[in-house]
Amino acid sequence: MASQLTEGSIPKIFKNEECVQPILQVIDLEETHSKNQDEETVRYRLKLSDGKFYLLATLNRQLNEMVINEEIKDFSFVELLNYQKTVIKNTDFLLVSNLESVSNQTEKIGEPTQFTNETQENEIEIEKEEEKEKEKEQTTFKTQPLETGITLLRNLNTYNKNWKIKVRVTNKAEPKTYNTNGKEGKVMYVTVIDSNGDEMRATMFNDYVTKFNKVLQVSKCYYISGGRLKPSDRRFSSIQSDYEINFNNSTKMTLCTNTSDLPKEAYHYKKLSEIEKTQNGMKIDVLAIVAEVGDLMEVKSRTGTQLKKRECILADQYLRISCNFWGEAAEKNTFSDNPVIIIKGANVGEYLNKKNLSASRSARIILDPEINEAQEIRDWWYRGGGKKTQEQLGKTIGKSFGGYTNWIENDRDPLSNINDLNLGIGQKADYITAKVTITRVLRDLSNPVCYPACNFENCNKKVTLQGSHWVGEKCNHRIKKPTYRYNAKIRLSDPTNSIYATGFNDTCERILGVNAEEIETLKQQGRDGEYKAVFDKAVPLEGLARIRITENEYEGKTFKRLILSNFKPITDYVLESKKLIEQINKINRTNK
Amino acid sequence: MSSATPRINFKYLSQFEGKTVRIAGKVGEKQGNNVILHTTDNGQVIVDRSQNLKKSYETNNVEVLGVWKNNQLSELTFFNLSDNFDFDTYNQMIDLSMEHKEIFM
Repeated sequence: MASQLTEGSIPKIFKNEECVQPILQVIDLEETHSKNQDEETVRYRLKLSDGKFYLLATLNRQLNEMVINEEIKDFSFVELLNYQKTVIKNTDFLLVSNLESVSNQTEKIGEPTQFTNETQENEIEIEKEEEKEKEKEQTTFKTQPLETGITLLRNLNTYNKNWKIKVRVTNKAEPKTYNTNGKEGKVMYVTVIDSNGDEMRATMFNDYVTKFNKVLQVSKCYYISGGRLKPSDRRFSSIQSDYEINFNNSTKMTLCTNTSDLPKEAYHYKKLSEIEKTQNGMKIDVLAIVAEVGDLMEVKSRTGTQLKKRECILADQYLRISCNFWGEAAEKNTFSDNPVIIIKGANVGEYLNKKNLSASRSARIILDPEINEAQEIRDWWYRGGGKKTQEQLGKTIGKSFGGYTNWIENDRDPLSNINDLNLGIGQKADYITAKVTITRVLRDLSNPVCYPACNFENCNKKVTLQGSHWVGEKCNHRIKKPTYRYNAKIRLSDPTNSIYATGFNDTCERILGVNAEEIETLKQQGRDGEYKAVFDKAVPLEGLARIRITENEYEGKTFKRLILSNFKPITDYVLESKKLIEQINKINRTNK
Repeated sequence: MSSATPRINFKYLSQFEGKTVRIAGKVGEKQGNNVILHTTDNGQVIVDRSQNLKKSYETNNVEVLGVWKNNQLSELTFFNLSDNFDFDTYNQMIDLSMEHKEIFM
């Protein structure tokens, strides 16, 4: 029976040598699940063995039926008809697209071991090294010997007029018409990449759009000379370049066929967590999985035009973030099967204190790119990673960023640090993450828990009743009925100190579990028992507090103003224990 | 005056001959009235359950409270621990608390 297995086939497959329809044994067949909205995708992973060695494999979904019908199960002999070999993190994987069941067996033949780099003899190791180097060359920068007379993009500047570049066009956006100050015009943007892997943006206007649009084709290479160098505007492009070129009447372009030194793509995408540090209005490149896809919607823009929109959620190992696709990008892409996505030139925005992304027609979308990072993130997704990623945390009040993402992972500060380290002085606010217990929520006449707020266009300033209307002292808006919002003084205590911090609407709602309208109703209706019960639940709640510290002056005295910008009750005790042990160990070391 | 029963681990047992202690671990083989407890620091403790046979361990990880004498832990009571119990963190905690005995015992 063992002789049925095609001996020596696994090493051949690994070395990419010819191996015609080998017969292999299935071992360790396992089911993996990934979810997309209401659809669950089932994929099967297995080991394929020739009796001596095995390789890890995944079945294409069209083969799932064979597992369900039990045509394929553990120990089955199968004939491998079509597959694709891919490498993830130095491990070889077979993506099986076609195989046939030979017979079902009851035991494992031999004691196969995984065929990896280490299994090989020296000559194969050298071969693999060479293959890796080639892959690296395509995705990282490498200074290569220049063709004579060619200037690298990174060496272009406004002083050098006689340059000639050799580039490949990686993106060409649709020409746009504009109308500024009564002047109408056309503009077109292209992105080019040179042999060094650097990218640069080029613009052209009006007649030059027509002229060069015919010449320049995406993925073709050109020698280009002549044009005006300008500093680049990062609001319109995420390309990492200080300059951009304007193609004008002095620009000459010739098609280039000697293109082996020009890379096909440059990927400078970032992890989603980088978005926290990116200012609103800037562009960014990202790589992520499309975790959730919304339906195609039509919305009316401010100018009255109908726009197509699709709301999605992108996720990677650190973060989930919402991303809106507009126009053609929304229409064309249904993002089925949770693809890996690279967006070049996504806009960073913010809504309700949460960062978001949007991709319009100037953004470039690449689905399921064939690069290692894509395989890595896809692998993480299949292992159920999507369920564990943290929800993107809301930004704090105020303009400073303070490294907000994952504030829960920060070291814990004792409350005494606020005074001991004199935090809050200086232009920027200071932030600490502290493990505290809520010991009191002030709710007396001079410290009400909430206030009537102006609901005119998110104004939120305090309003007072004047006759039949509510009027804002500071905003002067007149409204019929206010919306109540929290502004409560909360006492936080830890072993080193007790402090009062102000909690605003979102934070208090989270802590008390009811919104300000409900609390105000309970109070006004004299439902004292229920009113008290809300606060009894919050005290003594143990959790992690994100505190913003500034210093204010009042009547000649300086005092610290503390805001509770976020609070998370402790649910992950293991994490907290680990943090505590970490901190204790730090003390132990310095004392010794 | 009563004080809390100290939480210890396999490596510290010798210091508590004749004393009542708590040890956590993974439930192992049963041998009559005895059960082997695999502690978080890779030790094996024989737990004599004859005084508490009426109650059965409900989870794979438990903390046993008993008297350590003659190389056996005579169980007085036990506490069920979750299957997600983090052995590593618990182990570090025990070591730290033994280092700073004055706070804990």
